[in-house]
Amino acid sequence: MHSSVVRVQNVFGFFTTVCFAVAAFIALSDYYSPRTPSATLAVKDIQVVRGRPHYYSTKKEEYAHIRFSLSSDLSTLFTWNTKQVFVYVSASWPDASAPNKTAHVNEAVIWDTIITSPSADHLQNIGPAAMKKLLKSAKGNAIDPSRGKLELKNQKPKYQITAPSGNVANIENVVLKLHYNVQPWVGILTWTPQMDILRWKQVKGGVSKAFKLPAIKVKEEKKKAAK
Amino acid sequence: MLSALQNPRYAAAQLLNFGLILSTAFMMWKGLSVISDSPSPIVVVLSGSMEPAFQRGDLLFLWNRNWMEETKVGEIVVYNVKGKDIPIVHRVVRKFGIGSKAKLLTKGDNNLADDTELYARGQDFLVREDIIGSVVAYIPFVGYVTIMLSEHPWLKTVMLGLMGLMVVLQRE
Amino acid sequence: MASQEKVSVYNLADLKNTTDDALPNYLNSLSFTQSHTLSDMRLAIGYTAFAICAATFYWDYTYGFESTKLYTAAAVAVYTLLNGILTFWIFYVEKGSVYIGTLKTGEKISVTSEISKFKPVYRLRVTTWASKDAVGVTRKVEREFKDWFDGKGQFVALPFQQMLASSVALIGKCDPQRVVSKEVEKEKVEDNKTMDEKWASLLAESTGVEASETTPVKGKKRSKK
Repeated sequence: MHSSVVRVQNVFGFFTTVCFAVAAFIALSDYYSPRTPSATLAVKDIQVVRGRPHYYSTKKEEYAHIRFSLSSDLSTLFTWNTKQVFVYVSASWPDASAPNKTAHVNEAVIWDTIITSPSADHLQNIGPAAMKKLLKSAKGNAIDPSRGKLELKNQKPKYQITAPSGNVANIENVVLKLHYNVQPWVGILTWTPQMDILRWKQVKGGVSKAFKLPAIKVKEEKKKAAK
Repeated sequence: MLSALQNPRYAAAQLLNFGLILSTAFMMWKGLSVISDSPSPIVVVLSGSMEPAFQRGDLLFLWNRNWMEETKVGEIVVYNVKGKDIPIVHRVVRKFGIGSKAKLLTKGDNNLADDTELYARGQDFLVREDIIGSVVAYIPFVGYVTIMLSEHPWLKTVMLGLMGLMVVLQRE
Repeated sequence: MASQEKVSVYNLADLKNTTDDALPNYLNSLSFTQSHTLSDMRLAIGYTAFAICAATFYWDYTYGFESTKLYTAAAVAVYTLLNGILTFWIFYVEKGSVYIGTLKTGEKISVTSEISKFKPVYRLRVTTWASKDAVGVTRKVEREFKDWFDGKGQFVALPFQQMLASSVALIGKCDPQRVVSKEVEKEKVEDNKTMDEKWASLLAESTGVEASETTPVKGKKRSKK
C-alpha cells in the first residue's frame, strides 16, 4: 500500500535511522577526545573502632575510618557526551590467609561523589538551594572543565570499611586508589583504564602509599574510662 | 488475500515470511544472549536508584563474561535476588576475596544505604552467580515504551485497537 | 478472479506481485506442468529454520538460559547458517523465478521477473528449451505495467496474456489465439519509438483487445484467473 500509513512508516523508519546514526557518531566521538587525568592521594588520619552494623544488631564489628587528602584534575573527562563522572576512592588490601599474600583481593569504597556535566545538573538529587548554586555555577556552558578539579583536605570518609570476618585492625599493606566511571549520554561506559588506550591515558598518580590500619581505639578509651 | 488461501504453497510462503521475521528477532536476541553470556543482555532501567546516571526507561547493554578481569568494585551490575524476579541495577561498592566465592556488596548511587536490606533474608553479600551482567553501554529513553505499556495496561488495548483499525482501513 | 483484486497503481511491488501471481495461472492453463522444486526447497529451508527457532524458544522457556546455553549457541549458529543459505537460495538460485514448467512434448520454460525501484517496467527473462537436451534460448521482455493494469489498479488478464503469447514463441505455440500480429509486436519491442508511434501502437493494441474479446467462449475462459 502506498498510502499515508506507509509514508508515516517510512518517515518514522528514516527518523530512527538518523537518530541511531547521530547517536553512534556521538558515542564514537568519545575516542577522539584525549583523557589525561591526574591525581595525588594521601592518607591522613586513620582510626579503627568497634561498632554495630546497625542500631539493633548485637554483632560487634571493627570499622576503619580513613581520612584522606585528594587533589585531582579530571577535567579532560568532560566532553559533550559526558553525562556524569562517578569518582570514588577505594581502600584495598591483601588477604593474609590466601596463597598469594600480596594480591589486593579485598576492596571497599570509602568515599565517592557524582560530578555532573552542566547538561545533567538538573538530574542531581540535591536540595533546592544547592541545585540553584549548581545550575548557576555553569550557566551558559555546555562543558565545564573546572568541575573535574577536586581539592579535598583531610576529607572524612563517607563509608567506614569493615570485612566479613569483622576484623580490620592491624591489617597491613592497605592502599587507597582513585577511580572514576564516565557515564556518557549515549555509548560505552568507561572506567579507570588499566593501561593507555589510544588517546586515553592512565591516571597519573591517584594511588596512596601503602599503610597499616592501627589497632582498635576503643580499648584505649575503655582503659581511660576505667582509670 | 483470498487467493492465498486457494494456493497452499502461496499461503505457506506468506506464513513463512511472517514466521521468519519473528524468529529472526528472537534468534538475534538469543544470539546476543549467547555472546554476552547473559540471560538478559539488554535491560530497561525501572527505578531511579542509580540517578543521575540512569533514569527510568534508559536501555542498558550487559556483558556477563570475565575475559580480562573479574567483576570489580565500581562496576554497575544487574543482579537477581533469590525469590524476587525483578532484576536490580546497582554499583558494586565492596568486594572481599576473588573467584566465584568472592563476596560482593552493591549500592545504588542515589540510595543512602547499601543493598543489604534488598537481599534475601540472611544474605549479606552477593556472589558472582547472582549477577546476570555488568553494564557496558547505554542508550537513553528508548526503553520507556515498555515501562509505559507495563504501567498503563490500557495503552496496550489502545495500541491493539489502533492496529485492528488500521487493518480494517487498509482493506478498503 | 484476479480482476476482483485491486492494487495501488503507485505501488510497484504490488504491481509486480500481482503480475507474478497471474503468470503461473496463465501458463498452467496452457497445459504446462509447473515444477515447484525451487520454491519447495525455499519453504523447506525456511521452515527448518523456523522449527529450530521454535525448539529454542521451547527449551529456553522451559529450562531457563543457564542450563541450555550450549544448545542455544548451537541453535543460533545453525539458524544463522540456514538464513544465509536461504538468502543465497533466493538471490542466486531462484533469482526472481516465477515459473518453471514443462510441456508433455518435452519443451521446458523458465520465467524470472524483476523491477527496478522507480521504473514501472516489468522485466521478464524467459528461457525456453526445445527439448530435454536442447540448449536454452533466453529472451528478455520489458513492458510497462500500464499495459495490463487499468487506471484503477485492476489487473486485466487479456493484454498480459497477449503480451506473453506474442513475445515468447513457445507460449504463442500453445495459445495461438493470444498472439497479436507481428507488426504491432515489433513496435512494442523497440524502445526508441516516437510519441506518434506509441499512440499508434496503443490504438492497435486496444483494437486488438476488442478483436480478441469477440473470440469464442473457449478463449474467454482463459482470460479469467
